[in-house]
This record gives sequence, C-alpha cells and structure tokens, in this order.
Amino acid sequence: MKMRIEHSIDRILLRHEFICMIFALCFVVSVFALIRTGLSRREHYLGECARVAWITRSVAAGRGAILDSDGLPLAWTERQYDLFLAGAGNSPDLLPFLAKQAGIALPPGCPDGENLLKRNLTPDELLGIEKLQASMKGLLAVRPRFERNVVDYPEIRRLVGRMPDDLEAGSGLELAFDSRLRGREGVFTVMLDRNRQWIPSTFKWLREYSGGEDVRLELPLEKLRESGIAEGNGR
Amino acid sequence: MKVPSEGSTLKMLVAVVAMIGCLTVFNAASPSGGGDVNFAARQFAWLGAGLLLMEILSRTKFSILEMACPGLVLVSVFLLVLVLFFGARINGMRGWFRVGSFLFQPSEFAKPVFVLAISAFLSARQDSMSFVVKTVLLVLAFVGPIVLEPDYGTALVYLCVLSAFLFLRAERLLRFSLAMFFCMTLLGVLAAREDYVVRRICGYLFPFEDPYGAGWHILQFRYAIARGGPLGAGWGECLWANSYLPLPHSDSSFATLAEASGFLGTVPLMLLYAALPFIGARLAGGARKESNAYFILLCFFLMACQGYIHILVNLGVLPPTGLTLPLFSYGGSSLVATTVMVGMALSAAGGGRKTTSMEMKE
Repeated sequence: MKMRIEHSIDRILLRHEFICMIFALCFVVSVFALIRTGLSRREHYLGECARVAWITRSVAAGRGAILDSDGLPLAWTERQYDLFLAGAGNSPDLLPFLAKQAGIALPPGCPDGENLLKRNLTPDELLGIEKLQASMKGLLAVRPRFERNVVDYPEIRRLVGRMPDDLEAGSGLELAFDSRLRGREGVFTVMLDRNRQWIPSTFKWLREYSGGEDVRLELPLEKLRESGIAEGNGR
Repeated sequence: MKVPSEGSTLKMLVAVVAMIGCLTVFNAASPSGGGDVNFAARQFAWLGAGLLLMEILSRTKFSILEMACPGLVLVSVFLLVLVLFFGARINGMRGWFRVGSFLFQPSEFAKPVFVLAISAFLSARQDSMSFVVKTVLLVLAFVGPIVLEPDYGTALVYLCVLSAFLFLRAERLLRFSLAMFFCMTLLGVLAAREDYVVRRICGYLFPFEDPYGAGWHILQFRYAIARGGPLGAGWGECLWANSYLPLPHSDSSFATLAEASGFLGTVPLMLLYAALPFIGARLAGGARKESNAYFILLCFFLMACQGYIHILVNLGVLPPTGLTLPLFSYGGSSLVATTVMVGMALSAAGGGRKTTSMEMKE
C-alpha cells in the first residue's frame, strides 16, 4: 500500500516537472523583458519620461527700482496676474459659471484672441480661483507678469524713459542704468506628478535667478521735477 | 551546529520576502517616497498576524484541516456570495467587506480553502461522472461569485490552479486539453463582455493609441522599470512610482521594486517565484498521502502562478489583470492568505519535516 502511494506521488512529481519547466521559462522570459525595458531600451524610455514629466521654465528677474535721493520710488516693478482660458473648446456657458464660482467679474466680450479673460487679478479673485475644485481649476490658467510703473508726473516719466514691454529698456534713465537695473533671469527644471503639480523635491535651478539692483539718484523728486520741467521748456 | 530544517528555512524565506514587501510598500505609499508610514505599518501588522498563523498551522495535523474542509468550504462560499450583496465597491469591483477602516477580501481567504477542497474532494480515485460533477460544483461555488464581482484576474488564478491539478491527475492528456480549452474559452467569452477588460487588452496591444487612457498602465510600467535601470534609483527615490504608477503598492509593486532596486534587486525575486514549484516538489516528495502531495504542489503553484502573472504584467508581457504579488504587495487579506497557505503546506508535508522512505515504510 505504502509502495503504491510512493509510486503514485512519484508519478505526480514526474508530471509536475513539466510545470516547473514552465516557470523556468517564465523566469527566462521575464529576465529578457527586464533587460529590454530596463537596460537596452532604457535611454529611449527615459527620454519619454523626461518629455512626459519634466518641465524647464525660466523666471524673469524683477527689475530694480529707480529711487530719488530720499529713497522715494520713481519707477518700480510690480508682479501682476492675468487670467487665461486654459483649454480650447470649452462650452461658452462654462465661463460665466466658473467666473461666478471664483468670484471674478469678467469684462464683456471675453475671451479675446489670446484667450485672455482678465488682466490684473485682485488678491480676492486669486483666492477665489484657488478655492475652485481641482477639475475646474484646470480650465483656467493664471499667469504672472511684470508691470513697470512710474510716478505720475510727465516730466519724471520723460526723465525715466520708456519701457516698451515692461522688461526691456527703451530710453532715458531706464536705458542709462539698464545693466544695473536688469537682473539675470533664472532657469529651473522640475518634475510634475500625474496631476501636473510640481514635485518639490525634484526642483533644480539650472541657472540661478538674481533680481536687479535699485538705483538711487543724487537729487530729490522735486529737484528732478524742476530740472525736467526746465529741460522741457528749453526744448 | 544545528542545521535549520526545510520548514524553518521556508518560514524564514517567507518572513524575509514579506519584510522586503513592507519596505516596498513604504517606498511606494507616500508622494515623497518615504514619509507616510500608514500603509507599511498596516502591512507590517498583517505580516505579524500572518506569521503567527503560519506557525500555528504548520504545527497542526493536516488531517484536522482536512476534517474541517467541508466547513471551511461552506464559510468561504457563503462569504464569496455575501460580498456580492453587501461588499464595498472599489475600482468597479464588489469584492471587499469594509470593517471600520479595514478591508477584508473573501476571494483571497478562499484560495487556501479552494486548494484544500481540490485535494480533499478530487484527488481520491472515483468514477468519471462523480469527478466531473464535483469539479463543476467547485468551480461554480468558488469561481462563479468571483466572476460576478467582477474580478477576472483572481478567477483566472483559480482556474489555473484547477488546470494544474487536472494536468497532474489526468490519465489522458487529450481529455485534459479539451477540458482546459473549453474552460479558458468560456472565461475568455465572459471576460470579453466586460468593457474594462476589452479596454485593457486594447491598451496592452496599442498603448500609444491612448497613452493617457487605456495605454497608461503599460507605459508607466515601462517608464518606472527604465528609471530603475541596472542598480535602481534607490529606496525612497521612487519618484515615478509615487507620481505616475497606478496603485504602486499593490498592482504595480514589482515595477515599484524595479524602480527602487533595479535589475539587480528584481532578478532574485523573479528567481524566487520561479523556484516556488521546485520547493513545493521537494516538500511534496516527503508527503504521506497523495492528497497531501497535491495540496502542497498546488499551494506553491498558486503563489508562483499569481506571482508570475503579476511580474509579466508589470513587464508588459501580459495585459493588466489587477493581480497583486503574493507576500509582497500591499493587502492584509492577500498576505495572511499566503502565509496561511504556506503554513498548511508545511502541515501537509508533516510539519516541514522531510519524511524519509524508511519512515514511510514504518
């Protein structure tokens, strides 16, 4: 009887060897697939990873301020935030709904050709957008922008000069002190997660950002105005 | 010097593999790759319970387990049916009971019982009609409710175990082949009726057709494994697994390990799963009864089969099935069921003690 059991188990084990061989084959196939994905085609897949997940962006350097001898700002840079429509093909009814949810007063006739919905968002409007659900937030995009401001005296405006696109100097003191006023723009790279949010631990500066210097003039505002007026009259 | 027995070595191996699994879960469960310990702590607690059960079961006489088999089958089938009505629906599947913050998956706990039922009810010599009726009843009782959840991945594992048994037992391989062809065709036809199964297969065949939808899983597996490379990105550095891999701690745990430890870290694990049937054969060689031998072989076959389906899915060789890696992936039900299975297999082998032919003759 015992001999028969032993014989029968031996027969089962003999057939089981075939199953063992199948798993040995699975091992070989797995190693082959692992070598292919993890070693031989690795660079190709890493390239795709980089394309999918990594972004490189530049940060415009804030331009320094022009101050009078008392430290009063004559020209300075402010960061403004504009609201854009992120995806094309959104329903026209969606915009008023989103605007209501976020507490934004949209100007009539938007969106324009650039999909810009509103310039210079207020802090309350920014908070309203932040409170929107993640799925709704994806339909809107808030983009920062530098805006150059000058004190509201025509003679000072003439003296300070023009800044055609809020970053590049065109004339006057802006052009004369451009090398000191302009900073150096930074470039960074960061990995995004599946929801297109930054993964903070992956943030890396490729080129450090440095802000522009402030330039202090030797005359106070009143003197500058007088000289500006005199110069204007002289012309 | 005392040499540890096969049983002790196997228990140690199970503990070590499951510990590495806990580490992988820890690695995968937090966005920063190592901050959130919740998943890993739970897994660790389940591992403790599982190892304790394994120890107890390995010291229990297998005849007691065989005697309890009808009761265990009834309880398992009852739970499998009950979960269809009162289970929590997760990822479109009604397969879990929610008890407080814990989830309990009956189809995992039913695995050792299914193997026990096969070896207890089908291994003895009997007439063909009785054998076919019992086989069909077992399939309907265990696989039927799982298909209705619907969890085709787990159903496939159950059918593979049954196929392996029929192959080992079959007098004529032609009959066995026909039966298998019929079963697999039936499962294929049933699965093809589910939209999600068709989408997964399409995503597997043409991942770039819909890279952000059906092809997402397949592509993310490749990217995670590629990031691992030969040596791995390092523990706590699984950025891809944390950010892009779907369910990095369960369905994608092999890819997570591949990203962390690379080629060198994953090959030993693959080797271990391929070696499981060999370990089973060695233990079964010392079994006292034919049914014990079947039980041991099928337990190790089940672990290896599920393990290799998971590994091959993660490597992009098979379409996604949603199966976890036994002992390794997150999930208390799966971990405890696997350790229970090892404990029962050791019990079937005589407490892990190699039975010599002399002892058998006595």
